[in-house]
This record gives sequence, structure tokens and C-alpha cells, in this order.
Amino acid sequence: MFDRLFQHISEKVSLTEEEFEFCKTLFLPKKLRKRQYLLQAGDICKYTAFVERGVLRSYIIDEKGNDRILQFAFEGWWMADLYSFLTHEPSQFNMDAIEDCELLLINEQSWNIMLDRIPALERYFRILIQNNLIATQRRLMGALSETAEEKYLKLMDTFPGCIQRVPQHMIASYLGITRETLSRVRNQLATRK
Amino acid sequence: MEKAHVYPIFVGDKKEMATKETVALIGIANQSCEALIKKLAQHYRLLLIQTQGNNLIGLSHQIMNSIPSTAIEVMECAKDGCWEADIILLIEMDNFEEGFIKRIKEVATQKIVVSISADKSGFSFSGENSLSFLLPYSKVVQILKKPGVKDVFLSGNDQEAVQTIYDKAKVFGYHITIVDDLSERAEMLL
Repeated sequence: MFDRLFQHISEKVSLTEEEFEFCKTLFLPKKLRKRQYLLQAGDICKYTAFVERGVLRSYIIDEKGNDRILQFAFEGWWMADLYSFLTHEPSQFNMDAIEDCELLLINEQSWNIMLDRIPALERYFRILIQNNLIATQRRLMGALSETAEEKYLKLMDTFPGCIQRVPQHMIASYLGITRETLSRVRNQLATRK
Repeated sequence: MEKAHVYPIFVGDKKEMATKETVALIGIANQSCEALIKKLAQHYRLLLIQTQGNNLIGLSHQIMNSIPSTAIEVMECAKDGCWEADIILLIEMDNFEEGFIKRIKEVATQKIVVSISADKSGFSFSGENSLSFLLPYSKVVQILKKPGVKDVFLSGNDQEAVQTIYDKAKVFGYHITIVDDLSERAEMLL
């Protein structure tokens, strides 16, 4: 149940067996079925989620009622609305499962206890936040300047298994392009090979 | 699986929009808990855990027919049900299988586990046979409610969990008292 989390942590910092066992007591194991919500807009984001198995997405609903996907989280990824998680203000995001998921959830209180007790995890989360900031900058730059094809290729590079597991319309939404444009880009790439 | 609904729920007197929580119910003996399940079904997605000898499918269909907007499912595996659940409800667990607690312990961590008893014969309220001892990393709330008596007594090892269950139970119209020591109350009610 904790294999992927502990492997992910171990790639960045070293924890003792005792520290890993302590971590286990602070996480809430949660199974989510496909299309079930983890968070709805208006809720306070009480947990940050680590994906042991499955795929999550976070999205907003625009004024036309369309889903606009901000992020996917595959196995080994974390997902939360950090603003809502840390300020206890209602979230603007929805988060739900694209596939059946096994998640490990941790609330703010437990998270602080964990960081107090295991200082090495401060470094772990600092690295995650750094990587997240870099990824967010790259995504913003991409949204402003990249072509549809460049966006698609970057996505395939970042999430290699994405195309098999995420519906096309969600990929298009994440890239900020229409389904038709995505289809055209994919056909063009397939023709060039 | 249908997408979970957004719907207004009342916590105390406060109306909140919230993702529908999932409650796993264990220890249901056929029709005996029908009234409780019907009340819960109006506010929560329910997983009814089928133990040996109980057929809960008929009960679930009956409730879904009478309350169309409900989401109720019968499951055979207590571990899977507790894994999916946000709140775990143990009802009159006098005769639980040995190792049952061991099976759900891993997936009940940090979750609210509510035990409803009519008297002391189920889980002890304190000591090594108590639910708090057996599930040390869960937020255990124990409820004492005798049939035919309106008063409900609540106790637990986590203040926030106790308050959460108090707020939720009030919605159902019970007269609830939070106490420190349920075993004393159990003696008084005998």
C-alpha cells in the first residue's frame, strides 16, 4: 500500500525503517472509483493526495460549462489545491479519478506532525515544490508560446503513458486546444513517422 | 460507477455544499438496521458489508426503491469497503470474526470509526479489548444507544471526530450527550 510512496521518498531522501513506519500512521488510505470526486469546487481541500495507483485530474469548469484541466496525477505523483489546503479557503478546483485509484491522503495537521518528527521530509517536500514551480513555469511559457504540436510532444515526453489512459477530449482540454486540432496534430505526427 | 453528486448537506444548523461521503456499514443483521440505513442513505453513499448468513441485497434494493436518489452497494469484502469508505460504522459488533479488526486496521488509519452498541457486551469501552486500543491510529467514536431509548451517548479518542459525529447525528434528530466515560453510562442504562 505504501510501496510507491516510500520508493518516491527514498529517491530523494533517506528515512529509517522506524520513520517509514511512523509515516504510515499518518496517511489515510482511500480507494476512489473512476469518476468519483476527491474534491469539488467550493469544498475546502483538507488533504493532499499521493497516487499509489490510478490517475487523477484537477480541473475547473469554465463559463460555458466545459472542463478545463489543469493537471493530471499518475502513479507516484502528488495532487492538492495547495492554496485551499494551507489557507482553508474553498477550492476553485474539482479533482476526480480518471481510473480507479488507490490514494494516500494526508491532512495538514498530520503533515505538520510528520515534518516535525522527520526533518528529512522537509527536504523531500522542498524538492517537490521546486519541481512543481519549474513545471508550472514551463507550462505557462508553453501556453503562451508553443504550437499545438509542441505542446502535444512535450506532454508525451512528460507523461509517456498518457495517451493510452486518458481520454482524447481530456488531453485536448489539458493542452488548451480543440479535439479537432489534437486529432490533426496526431495524424500529422503519425504520417511523418 | 456514477459520478458522486453535489448536494447540500446540513452539519448542525449549517448548510454546506460537499462531496458526498462514503460510509461503510458492518454488522447489519438483515432488516434490523433498516431505519438507520434509510436515514444515512439520504446523506451518504453507503457500502453495506455482507457478512456470513446475511443477505443485504434485498434490503439495499428496497431502500433504493423507496429513496431513488440513494447510492447503496452491497460488498462482501470488509477490507475493500473500509478502504473506500470515509467513515466506518460498526453496528452491534458483538460477534465479530477473529482477525476482523486486523483486516481493516491497515485501511482504517486516520479514518473515523464509529461503533454503535446497545450495551457493554460488544467492544469494551476501555482497556485492551477497546476499539481505541485495537485501532490506535483511527479516530474512534463509540456510541451507546439502547433500543427504545431516545438518548444517545457519545465518546471518543479524538475530539474533532467526536464533534463531527455529534453534528452528523444531530441531523437525524437524536438527543445526544458527549461523555468522557461510556462504561459508566452503560452501567446506568442496564
